[in-house]
Order: sequence, then structure tokens, then C-alpha cells
Amino acid sequence: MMSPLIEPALDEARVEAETRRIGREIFAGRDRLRAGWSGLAHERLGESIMEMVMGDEELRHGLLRFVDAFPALHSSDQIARHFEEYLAPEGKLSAGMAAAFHQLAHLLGRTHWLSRYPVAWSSRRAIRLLARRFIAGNTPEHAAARLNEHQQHGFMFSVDLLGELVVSESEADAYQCRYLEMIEQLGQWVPPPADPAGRVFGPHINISIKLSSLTARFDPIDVNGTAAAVMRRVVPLLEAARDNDVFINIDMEHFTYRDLTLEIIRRLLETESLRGWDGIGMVAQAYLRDAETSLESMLEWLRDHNQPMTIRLVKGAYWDSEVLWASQRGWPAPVLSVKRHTDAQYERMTRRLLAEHAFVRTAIASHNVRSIAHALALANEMRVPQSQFELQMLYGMSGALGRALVSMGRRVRIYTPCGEPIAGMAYLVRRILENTSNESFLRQASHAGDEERLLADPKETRL
Amino acid sequence: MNDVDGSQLPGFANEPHLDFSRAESRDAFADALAHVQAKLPLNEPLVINGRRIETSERIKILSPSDVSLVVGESACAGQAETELAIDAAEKAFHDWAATSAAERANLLLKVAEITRVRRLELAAIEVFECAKPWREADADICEAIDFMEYYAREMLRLGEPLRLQPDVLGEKNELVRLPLGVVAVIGPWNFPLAIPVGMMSAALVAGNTIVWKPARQSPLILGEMMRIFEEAGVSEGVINYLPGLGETAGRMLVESPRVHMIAFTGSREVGLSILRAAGKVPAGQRFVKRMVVEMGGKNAMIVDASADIDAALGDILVSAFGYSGQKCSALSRLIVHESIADELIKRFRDAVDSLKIAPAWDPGCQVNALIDNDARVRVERAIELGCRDGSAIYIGNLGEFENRGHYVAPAIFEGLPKDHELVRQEIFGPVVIVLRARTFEEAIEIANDSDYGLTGGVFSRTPSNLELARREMQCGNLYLNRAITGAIVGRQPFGGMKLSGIGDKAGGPGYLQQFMTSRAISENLMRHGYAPVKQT
Repeated sequence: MMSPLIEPALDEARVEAETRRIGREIFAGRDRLRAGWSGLAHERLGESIMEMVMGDEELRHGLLRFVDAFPALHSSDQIARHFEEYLAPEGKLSAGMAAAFHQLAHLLGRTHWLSRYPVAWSSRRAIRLLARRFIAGNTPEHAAARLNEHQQHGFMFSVDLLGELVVSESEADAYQCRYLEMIEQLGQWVPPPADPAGRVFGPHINISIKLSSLTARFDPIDVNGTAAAVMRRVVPLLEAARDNDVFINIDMEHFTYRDLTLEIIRRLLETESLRGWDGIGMVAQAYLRDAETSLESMLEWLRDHNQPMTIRLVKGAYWDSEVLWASQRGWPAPVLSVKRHTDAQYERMTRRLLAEHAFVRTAIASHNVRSIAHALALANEMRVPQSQFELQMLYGMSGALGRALVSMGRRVRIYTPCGEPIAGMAYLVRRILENTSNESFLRQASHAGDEERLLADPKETRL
Repeated sequence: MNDVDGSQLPGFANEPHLDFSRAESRDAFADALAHVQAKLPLNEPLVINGRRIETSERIKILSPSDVSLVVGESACAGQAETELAIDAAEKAFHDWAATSAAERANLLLKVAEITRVRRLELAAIEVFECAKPWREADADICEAIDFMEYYAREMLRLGEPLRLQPDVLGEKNELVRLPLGVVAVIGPWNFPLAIPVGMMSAALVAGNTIVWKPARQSPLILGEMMRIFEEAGVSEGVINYLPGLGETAGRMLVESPRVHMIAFTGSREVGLSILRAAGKVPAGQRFVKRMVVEMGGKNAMIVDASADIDAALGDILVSAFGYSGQKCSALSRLIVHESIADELIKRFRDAVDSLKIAPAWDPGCQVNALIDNDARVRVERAIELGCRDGSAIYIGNLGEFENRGHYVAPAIFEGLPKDHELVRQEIFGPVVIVLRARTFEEAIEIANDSDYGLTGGVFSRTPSNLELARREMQCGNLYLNRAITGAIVGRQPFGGMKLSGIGDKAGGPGYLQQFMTSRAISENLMRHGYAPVKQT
């Protein structure tokens, strides 16, 4: 039924012009919305903290380390001691840091930063606020209010469960239980939106899972053993999802897990009870050097198996660790080293995915206005049906941009993590790292005036 | 043979391990296993003075993973063969010592290159012979290559005479390095290629000749390696491959007045007896024997209250149960801050319960069989002692592997008195002793309360505690916030303090000099008050 698609010739110049036009429209919408919106307290505070650490590597490093250690600190003394050791070594803050913390203290209504209890109190409060910015609640039930809010504002969501690293079979069982509970109950806590306004296609409950959390031994050296252990836990989850009309997205993690994850997805789709079901999604990471080859072989497999699939296209969130690990092992880094090469590859992959809209539903997961505008322009040009295309953003990072896209009538899904603070810390550190990186689009785009540069074609841009 | 031009040689870089997340690596490894299995049983005669010699006494190798699989057998040197091997090495010394440093380095680089080409086959032999799981076997071959590449470069550096105080006029002062003579290299079975090749290649490139005695448990992999040295063109008698027993061949080598140096890695008991024996100077011996003796550890990992427990658990498992704990660097004492002890112990216990016991050729193997029945009996006895005198946090179950090979399931104990033998002595198996500490300072005291001082580790996110550990931990290799095994040549030079051994760190800048002596040469260049301006 599905034959290899011959890509229709596109008017490249028009796609590029449309990309710029839509991009400007998005920026304008964002600026309009931002003007009348001061943000919630935790958003403002998060902004301030991240503004502070931008451009001060020492402070950024200290803050990340402190945030990372924070959940393990149980007394005020402990918190104050670590605060001092990470952020005020030798008992005094650097001039930059002192200024930064004066500002923070002002925001928090406290003044004496280096006396112990206020330090502990303020750190707790600041980190709790930071966590609240990126993590919706301790449990899906706690996060339900946020999810309902998303829907009221015209967004859709995908819930992600943050958790500790799974090191034992009993922990993998516990994860499976948490996922099952969420599959069976989230629909009660979060009813479908009253006025879908043509935005919802398929189930409104959408859950993201990590296969590595479903076994103590997620090891690519042993494909069959790992696949068997994961399948034993994930097949019942997917069957329950199918029975409860819940969509499951299978997240992608580090590069060493990628091929194994794809192999397990293929085995799942060959399972009698799941074959042909369209409630499963997967992820492609555009920052990987071989991302296009990998995507191509998966598309071929899907086509050969008549299997519909939702594919979330991301750039990738593990760039730093991929580079560090590769360097330690003497392996070539699996990721592209230049950001705009990733952006360009992202655009090529967007085009490949949209071309397969007969059986692929594409989720453009990015906060980069150029990437989004390009996808929207292509989708128009290629006449991709509304049901086969959506945008995705991260909780705490969509902001006015997300609201602008919704107001333009776009389908936007918010990837919404929930979990306990300890478990969430790795996620939180990744988000802070991302939001304070010089490469971050959101950072670069936070001030008006640079729109044309930010909308330039990554193939051509020389930064 | 063309000499290496040191200036043309690229800088040292570690041999990358296989990336088993790639299908082509997994397929290639599986193919190598099948290829080697089809060749079993292997047979390795002695190699003395380039000649292959069979003996009536044999060393039989059954696979530790499954004793019904005969991996092969080797000859077993007796007194006569050991004398022959020493003769051969002694005769070959003069010519070998006269070769240039570059020539010897070149040989070693050539061997490294052949080893690189054949790394999968060599790894596969270890899987069968020593029950090394895939990753560990691959890493062992890479480390052997690293040692050769590293010491070859070290020799090019040390081979140049060191000019001393060249500004002084009218005389020329220099330090030159010289080989010693016959070196006996007595290796262990737990890193069956890397350690024996590391010791031997250092001795070789320094200009010594060698009697190479593999451990009784792992002669076959070194027989294969011997052929690679021959293929690369090593002269007859320079390396003499002498599988045999410690009590006969080993003892003779140590006591021989003609053996100049002993490089040994193994148990403390044997190591100390070698040091004692080598301290005697029999009639006719005109030198004091050199010793490099590496003897094991009772390694501690401290988990502080501020540790990242997720990260710690993964690295604890690797450090304690990698190759079933049969590493001198393995984690044996887990010292936990009491504020997190209950949580950590519970998760650790469950994690250990989830480890997969399997034959080493199963890619999913996490706990492999022990090397032989003696090891199994010894570790089983330790577990009985632990049950008797302490409280068992976990005692594993072998299930289907009860009678297939030398398997011992993991065990974790706590509550043992601090001078109990399980807290004091090396167990060399999948057994971890948990000790609780009230403070970080107390944790360091407990860690240091040991005869040994090889590896040690700390998981902490408190900068001042990490600083304290840097200053106070009595171990030769200290690892902060990472696993304590898997030292990498040139990056983490490896070797202990205290009763863990004597000698400079393997894979470090001081190692090669131990295999050499030096001569300071001072020449007066003045003739009747005149000296050349250029004093070279």
C-alpha cells in the first residue's frame, strides 16, 4: 500500500520566503504577548537566576554543582556549607557573584546572604522555584492542575515521569507500576479539553516513557537479553495504553542506547497485539552525525511493515555528555560539533518526515523559531494534513513563544515532566545548562532586534 | 629492520575499546568466538631459544564457565626446561642489549600493530580460557596494546643519553641507561594478556632478555601472544615462553643466581615469599636482584552523605563485580555514611540481586565463573565465614549454574568486627563488606585501616571532603566520583602503596627505568689547557 514516496519538487525560494514570513509573524506574536505578561513569580525568578549566570562560567559551574548536590543536603548547616563551598569559596563571593546574589536576595526579600540560615532558607526557596519552573509536580496527580491549565490555554501535553536511575529489577517493576497507574488514571484527573478547536487528533492523554527505566540492565552489548527484559514490562503498558486510549511516546536517551531502543521499537511493532497500532511514537535526534541514515532505515522499515508512526524530531539534549564520553573513550563524538550543522540537518529531516505524511505524524520539538517556521512553511507547501503535524516544546521553556503559536492556530504540545526533586535534578541541571548556554536559541532570542539573523538559513549562516 | 624515528612517531594514544552499541562490533566479536571455539582444544608447547618443546607433564585448561569444555593444554616446564630457558635468555642477552633503543621500540610497535589486527581473536581466547566477559576481554587486549605503545615511546625517550650540566666547560657529563640481564616475568591470570605483556614488554624494550612464565591458569593466551612476538621478528632466546607451576618453575626462576630481576603480579603470599627468596644472594650471584612486585588490595569506596547515589550505585556494581571481583583493584569494602546507609544498602542489595550470572561468552554476562575450583572453594569459605560472624545483607543463588563451572553467586555482608579476616584479607571474588561511618573523617580512617593501599574511591559532592580525601587516602590510585577499576595506561598509572606492592606505577613515567640500570659517564675534554668549544 505504501510505496516509496517520490518527493515532489518544491519551490525552494518560496519555502525560504515563507519561512522568513512565518518566522517574523511568530516573533511579532511572541513580543505582543510578552508585553502584556509579566510571568509568574517562579518564571521571573528563574529568568533572573539564569540571567545572572550567563557569561560567568565560574558562577554557572558553581550553581550547577550546587543544584546537583542540593537534594542530598538535609540540614540548614549542610546547605549553607555547600553553598559557601560552591559559590563563595574562601568565604567570599567574587564581585560578579556578590552583585548577582544581591539581586537574588532582593528578589527573595532577604539580605544577609552569608549567614547560615537565611542562606539555607533562600537556597531552598530558590531551587524549589527553579524546579517548579521546569518540573510540573511531584506526581502526575500533582501535575494534573498544570496539565488542565495547558489544555485551557489551548496546549496539549505529554507527561514524562522523572525518576531515579533504575539499578534493579524491583525498581524497574516499580516504574512499570507508576506508568501503568498513570495510563489508567490520568484520564480521570485530566479530562479532554472542552473546546478542542480542531487541535486534538487522537488521544489527548500522551505519555513519554524511557525504556531504560524498565530493566536493571539496559545494555546494548546484549540486545536480545535487554529486549526481552524490556518487552516483558513494556508490552503490558502498551496494551493498557491502547485499551485506555492513551498515546505512548518512547523517548530517546544517549547515543549508545539509540540503536537498541529502535530495535526494541521494531520488536514491539512486530508483537501480535500491537502490530499496526498508531498509538506509539518515537524520537529522532538531529544532532547525531548519522541521524539521517538512521531515520532513513527506520522509515524504510515502517513503510515495509505498513506501520503508522509518530516521530518527534528533536535536536538532542545530551550534547555535552556525548562529547565528554566520546573523548574519554577515544571514540569519535557521535554528535555534530557545530550547532548550525545540527540546525541544517534538522531542516533536512523535517522535510523527509513531512514527505512521509501518509504514514508518519511529525512532531517538531524545538524552541528555535527558524526551525519551527521552516517546518510550518514546508507543511503548508507540502500540503501536510493538520492531523499529521504538531509542534512540541518543553514545560517551562515555551513561554510567550508557545502562546503565540497557539494563537496562530497551531497545535502545540508541552512535554511536561513530573517527579520528586532528587529524581528531577538531572533533568533540572540539563535544562539550566541549556538555558544558560551561549548556543541557546531562547537566550539569543530573548532580546528584540536580532530576528533576521535568527531566521537565516542555517545552511548559509556563518556565525 | 628499520629504526623508528622518534620525532615521526605520533604521540601516545590509548587503543579505543570496542563500542558494543554498534551491531558490527557485536557481530565481529561473536564471529571471533565462533572462530576460536572451532579451533579448540589449543595446544602450546614451551618456546625456548626459538624451539618448541613438548613435555610429558601437561597443564590442562578447562573452561571455568563450563568445565565440560576443554580449552586446551600447554606443556609444563620442569627443572631441566627452566634451566634451559635461563641459559637461552642469558646467551641472547649480549646481542639483544647491543641493539639500539629505536630498534627495540620498533619491534614493540610492530607487535602492537599485529596485536591490534588480531585483537578479537585474542579476546575470544580469554573468554574461553579465563571466563572474561566480552567487554573485559576486549579491554584487556587494548591495555596490552597500550603498554607496548607506551613503553616503546618511553624507551625512545630514555634511550637518549641524558646530558648533565652542559654549561660546565671542559668536561662532558652524561647518564646512559643500560639493561640488566635476564628478567623473569611471572604473570597473573586475571588480566591474562595486559599484565604479563606489560611487564614483559617493559623488560624487553629496555634491552633485557626474558623468561616468561604465565600463570598456571592462563598459559594459552600467552602462547598465542608468543607467536605474535615471533612473527614480528624477535630473535631466538630473547623471550622464552615457559608455562609451568609456581612451586617448580616459578621458584627456580626466583632463586636462580642468573636471573637479574623478577617482575611479578599476584598474591601477597607469593609476592612476599619472592621478596624473601630474592633477598638471598647465592654463591656466584654478582648482583642484588631487582623486584617489581604487585600484590593486591583490599580496596575501599566511601559513599559520603552528599553523594549522588544513582551514579555511585552503577560504579559500585562495576567496581565490585566486574570480572566477579577478581581484580586487585576491585571494590571490597564499601564504606557508607550512616545518614544514607539504609537507603543505599537496600538499593545496592536489589541491584546485586538483579545481576546476571552467566557463562562469559553470553554477552549479557555480568557475574562470570571464578577462575578455578580452588578460587571457588576459597570464596565459598569466605561466604560461610561471613554468614557465621556477620550479618548477610545478600547471599545470591546460582540456580542453573550450580554445577556447570566455577561459579559463585555474589554476597554482601555487614556487621563484621573490624579485624575480621573478611575485613582484612583480599577475597578476590564477588563479595562486598559494608562498613558504616558516622562522619566522613571516620570513613577515611576506616578506609586507611588496612595493610593494603592499592585503589580507593570516594563518592561525594562536598568539595572540602574531596579535598580531604586527596590528602589523606592511603592508596596508590584514588578515584573521585567514579569507578575504582579500569585504570588506563598513561592516564591512570597503576600501582599501590603499603603491602600492595613495591615498584613504580605500571603505565606511568617511572615504570620503565626499573628494568634498567644507569651509568654516569664523565669525560675530561681538556688537553694541555685546551678544550673544544662544542662539547658533543
